[in-house]
Amino acid sequence: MLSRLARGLYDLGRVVERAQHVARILEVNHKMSLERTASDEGEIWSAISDSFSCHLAAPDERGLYATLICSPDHPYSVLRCVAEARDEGRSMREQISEEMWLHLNRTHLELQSMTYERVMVIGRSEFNRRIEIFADALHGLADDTMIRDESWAFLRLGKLIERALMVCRILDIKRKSVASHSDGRPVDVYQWQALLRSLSGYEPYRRAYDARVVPQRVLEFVLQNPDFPRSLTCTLSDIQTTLSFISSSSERQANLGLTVIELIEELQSIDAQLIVALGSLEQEVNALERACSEIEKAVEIAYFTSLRPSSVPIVISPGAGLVPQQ
Amino acid sequence: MPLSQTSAAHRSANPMDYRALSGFYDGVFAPNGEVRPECRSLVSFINKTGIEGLQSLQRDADLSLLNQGITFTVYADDRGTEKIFPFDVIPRVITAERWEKLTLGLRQRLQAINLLLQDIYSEQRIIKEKIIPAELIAQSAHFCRATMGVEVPKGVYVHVAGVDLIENESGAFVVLEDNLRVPSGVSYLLENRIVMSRVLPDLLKRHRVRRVDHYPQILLDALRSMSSNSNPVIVVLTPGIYNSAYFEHSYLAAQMGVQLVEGRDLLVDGNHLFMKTTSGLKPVDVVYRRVDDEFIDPIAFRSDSMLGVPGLANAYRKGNVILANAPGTGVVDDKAMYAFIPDAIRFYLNEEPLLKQVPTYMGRRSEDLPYILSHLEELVIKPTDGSGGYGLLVGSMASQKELSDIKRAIEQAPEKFVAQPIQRLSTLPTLVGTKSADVAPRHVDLRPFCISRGVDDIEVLPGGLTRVALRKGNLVVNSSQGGGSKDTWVLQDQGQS
Repeated sequence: MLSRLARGLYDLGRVVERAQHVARILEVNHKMSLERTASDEGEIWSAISDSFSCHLAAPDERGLYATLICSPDHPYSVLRCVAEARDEGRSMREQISEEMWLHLNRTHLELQSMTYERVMVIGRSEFNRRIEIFADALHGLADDTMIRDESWAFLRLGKLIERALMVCRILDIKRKSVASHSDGRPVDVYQWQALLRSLSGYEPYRRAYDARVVPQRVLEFVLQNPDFPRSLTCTLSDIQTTLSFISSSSERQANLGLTVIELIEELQSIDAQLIVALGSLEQEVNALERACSEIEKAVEIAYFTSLRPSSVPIVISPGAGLVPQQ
Repeated sequence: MPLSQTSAAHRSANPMDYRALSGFYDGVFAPNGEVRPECRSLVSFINKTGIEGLQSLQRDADLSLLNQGITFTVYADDRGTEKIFPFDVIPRVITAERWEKLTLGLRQRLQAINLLLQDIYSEQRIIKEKIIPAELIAQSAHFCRATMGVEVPKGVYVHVAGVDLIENESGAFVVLEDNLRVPSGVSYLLENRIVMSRVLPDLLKRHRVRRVDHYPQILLDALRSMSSNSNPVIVVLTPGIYNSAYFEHSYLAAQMGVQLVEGRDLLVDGNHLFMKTTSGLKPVDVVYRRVDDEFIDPIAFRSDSMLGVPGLANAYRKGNVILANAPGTGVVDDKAMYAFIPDAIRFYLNEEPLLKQVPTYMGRRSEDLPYILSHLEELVIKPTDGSGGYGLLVGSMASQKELSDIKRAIEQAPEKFVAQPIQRLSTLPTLVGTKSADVAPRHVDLRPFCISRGVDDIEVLPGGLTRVALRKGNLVVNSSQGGGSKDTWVLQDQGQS
């Protein structure tokens, strides 16, 4: 298929997944902030602000909502992501299903005049819930109404790449909150719980283990669980499966699959107990974030941006004398 | 009471208490008030259906168009740029005999136009023999140096033409504009028929109307036949979703089963054209381009164009890719060149033109200029390089300020304007008004679509887009000027199946 269309579907998958994660991160931390002291609260918001490069002088919840929900320019702003998703959908009506288009267009019409004040009137939680449902429904519709061809695969690939990057980012946010308590206080159970909730993983975690939130277990679950759809391992395996739906015709494209498999293997060999004991979460998270960004770049090069002419064309002159003289 | 022109008192009840305008040809009523024979069935249907019935049919048709998103873009409108193309449910009926005559005229005209283009871009005999003044071509904004000396397959420059015609007071078709660059509107014509077959299936069947739905197939075959490759890769090149005719571009690509591409999907390497796909570069043989000349190649033409493909003009000159229509056809649909088409027909074909055209006063001619300036109120003033009705001024409808502005503009650059007598566009019964609806005469034109497979192998789609000026008294029918459209029913010959 045309690279432009593949890229459009990939970007559509990414911005929808992104909107959902941002809404959920804000929601989880909002709930947490309700039961904490003012000094602790500041830490959460500045960790989120740092992680999404919001450049807020004094990060607070209001500032983050104004930026990450309502800003028309910030690349992680939820409203911008929804608008972008609708634009992508509009320029690729033939590539997506009618049901997906109607869903995108309806959501866009609902949100196009949304402001910070109106989000507050609707209520933060209600607004975030709508965004989560929007994203879940769109991906659900994609799986249930699209032909399983390359279009579908690129949409799904976008969603999964964004998810992998987001898992790393959420770990990074929590790593900062956890690290800031290294003065000997007991590791904050709530922060680890929030990490799970940020991935809708608290309930699945309890089912896999039990209600006790143990840092080592949480890390194992988020990084290594093969069956939880938002764990890093599961996300990467899904990427690998999705790539198999896409025809591979160049060495770059073939190598991409191998890189993903290598990263899955690396993940499996991580010892969560050791990380907790050594306090090396920061290094681990950084390394994983780098590896995922490299896969992201490799996808772009392999499918979207590598095609260029071998030489720059110059004008061939039609020759003088042929133009009628007056 | 049958549809008639009598001045009945009960206006609201009878849809066809219709008064044709005197001095204009009406497509349904003869001047003596009688219904034209080919329209009898239509008129009795309208009378039987009544205004409310027509309104209900109209609503069905509008809904059908809305649901399918059949829209166009009005550039003057900053806000919501997508609009539904207004559609009138009362069709236009054209007899087989009139259509046959029109077809012959169009074939002759396009044959001459293709020969004229071939001549302009090679020997220029018509200039040497002083039939056409050289400066007309040298100064034309649409003359394309890159096409000079290129041998185009089968001598075809204009693969698709959408000639604008009107009917004069006696009902003869008169050519208004040739539209040889990237004429649009065919998708509306096709969709109009689909809507009519949904809303008025019985009426359509009774009329034995010639089909139009094979247009994408004719176009595809013509494009294929241009390539020396037995299984050529064909694409439709669009400027993108913000173009007013994007719907049509994607519609035609889908109907022909070919890829719709934008400039950024293509690249030229080693003077060959390719499209960028996820499995590498794929060669392209034929481009049905819906991007204007000056935007197709930022190296050869406008360097600020983001819509084109760097190097495309080279690939074209090398004969490695076919562009339909050829670059530079605009030199002939220039409104000044229009005046010379009858001479071109005589010059190349040694025939008298079968179709009439409108007398044209040219600002560049010293003998015409004083007449134009002193008769502005009786003329339609057109910029020579405009299209789509942009920049056009109808003298009789213009304000004093508009008239003095255009006068100043003509005095400054007379060669950029031509003027034509205001045409008495024919009328057709049209459903007007929303609250108190009525069937009233509205002015129409006709844009048939002609596809050239060879210089003397030209097919005219039996139909055409009938555009209607929905505002009372308005003589400008362009969609960009608030016009609507009607389905055009060309009847089958008695013997035809």
